Amino acid sequence: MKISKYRALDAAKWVASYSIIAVVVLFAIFPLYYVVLLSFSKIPSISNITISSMIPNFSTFTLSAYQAVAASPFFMWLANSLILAFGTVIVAVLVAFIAGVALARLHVPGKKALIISLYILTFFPFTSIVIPVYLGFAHLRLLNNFLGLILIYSSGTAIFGAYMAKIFIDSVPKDYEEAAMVDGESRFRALFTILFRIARPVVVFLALIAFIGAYTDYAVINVLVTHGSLYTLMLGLYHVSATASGSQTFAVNLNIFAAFSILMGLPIIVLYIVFQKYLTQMYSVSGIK
Amino acid sequence: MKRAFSNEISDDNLKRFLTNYLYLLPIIGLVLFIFLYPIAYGVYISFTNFSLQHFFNATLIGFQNYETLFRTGVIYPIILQTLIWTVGSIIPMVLLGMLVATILNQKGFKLKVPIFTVILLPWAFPAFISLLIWVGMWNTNFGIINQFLALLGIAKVNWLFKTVPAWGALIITNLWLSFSYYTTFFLSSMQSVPDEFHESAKVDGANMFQRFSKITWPSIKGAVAFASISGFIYTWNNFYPIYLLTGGGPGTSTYSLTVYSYSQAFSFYNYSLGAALSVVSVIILAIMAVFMLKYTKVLDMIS
Repeated sequence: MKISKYRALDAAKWVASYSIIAVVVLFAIFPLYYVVLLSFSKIPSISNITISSMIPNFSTFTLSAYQAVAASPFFMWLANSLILAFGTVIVAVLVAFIAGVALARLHVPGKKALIISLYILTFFPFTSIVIPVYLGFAHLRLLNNFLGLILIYSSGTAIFGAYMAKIFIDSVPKDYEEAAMVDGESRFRALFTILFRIARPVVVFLALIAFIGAYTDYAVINVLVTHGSLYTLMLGLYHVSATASGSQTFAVNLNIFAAFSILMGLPIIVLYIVFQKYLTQMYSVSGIK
Repeated sequence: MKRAFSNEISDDNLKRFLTNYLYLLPIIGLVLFIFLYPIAYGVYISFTNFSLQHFFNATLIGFQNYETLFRTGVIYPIILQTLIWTVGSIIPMVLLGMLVATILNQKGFKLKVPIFTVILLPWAFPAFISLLIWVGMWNTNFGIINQFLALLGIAKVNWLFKTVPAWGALIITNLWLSFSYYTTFFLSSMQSVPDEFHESAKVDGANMFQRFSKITWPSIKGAVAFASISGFIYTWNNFYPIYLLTGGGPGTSTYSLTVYSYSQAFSFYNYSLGAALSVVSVIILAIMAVFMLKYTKVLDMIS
């Protein structure tokens, strides 16, 4: 009697679990499914979409939108985006990790006050500092300059990353680096090489956040870059296919916009899939806290 | 002899002490370089009449911009809307993230890896592009959402140009953009709870809810607090969803402080009023954030 009741409850639990997940998966995937379909269509604008265009139809399948993207300087924009994104990953992860180690392991008087003030500085939205940043960068000749962009992209991620790294390292027993120091490694090497390896999940997480921030930025680069040769995919996308601002709908070349979006999104999606096992380990490496 | 020895020690300590600060130098340098001057400048122009008319001859006018905001009362609804936007977004995000993470974390759940991969997609796709896609989907006359609703016999909803539906569209879109992130964060922290804990609780007859509240919750609540507070701050300042979906409209009814400040500065060229709005926004946010950080003890976690 008791066992059958338990079994029924268990079955109900699984039915509920899979139903909820099915709805969530549909919710997650629908907008992307919609873009994929559009990218293989000739649908030029939103007013041509109907419910039936949501069903894949091989007779109207076409690669013309992808050909249009290939005819644009897509690969130059991609190269620029990747330079910026990897530059940001290197700067943001190094700065965040070094700060995280110092906050977790080293005796630094006044660090609490320091942490809180750094944190509050990041409350200013970029939109509120864009004019002074523009004027300052013009003065320092950092307009149309990837270094300036990398520094801006890194700053926000580095602060959030320093806290993430600190919280993670706090949960790693000190024995690891102490053992390394007993083995004759210097304190610096012990802290960095050993902890960097153990903290790989959090490093991967920060690297992804840094990458995506730089790769998908529009607001910052739109203000600080005017040379066409420094355009990234995000600016290129706007250039090629979309006109949208405020609440106005973009009107032109919907299928090209879709194809461009898919090609632009692919590298990030691949990165996420490759590294997803680390993403779910951010908290789990050191075991019980 | 003895004295020299103790000097050596304190020299050594001092050196150590300074070296420890060196580790923090990169982040302090970066933050000061990127944030400090622009912020100081922004605060300064909030006390001037810097605008298109006074582009070359801006003068200090004291608290006039702040008086304009508070005396005319324009800022109060905007503050309320910012709270609706932030709290209205963060609660569903955290709840959905928690629900999905709890389901995926059940022992015996099949297809966890492919499902998790699909759930990551909204986070992995460039948000700016996703928003443009959503703008098209919410479109009143041609949008796919209204077309699906028509199948169910529901009349066209004017999603982006009526206040209540506009909030619904904004919050659902924002939920889509962010729930993957919270799911990942919570799943990761739940996996730090060893399976044996759940097994032994099961043997002791604890049901699902007891296990959640007695085992899972205590070990993830720090992560939840941290994610929620950083999400609160991020959402408060998150500019694109409102700017691209409703542009703050209809009228001014979906402006948040950040978007309103941007519009004042870049649509109406009233830079000083925009700057004053940013300052007010940051002060309110900082007070709330410090309070939340203290109350949830996240401050002890990060410092």
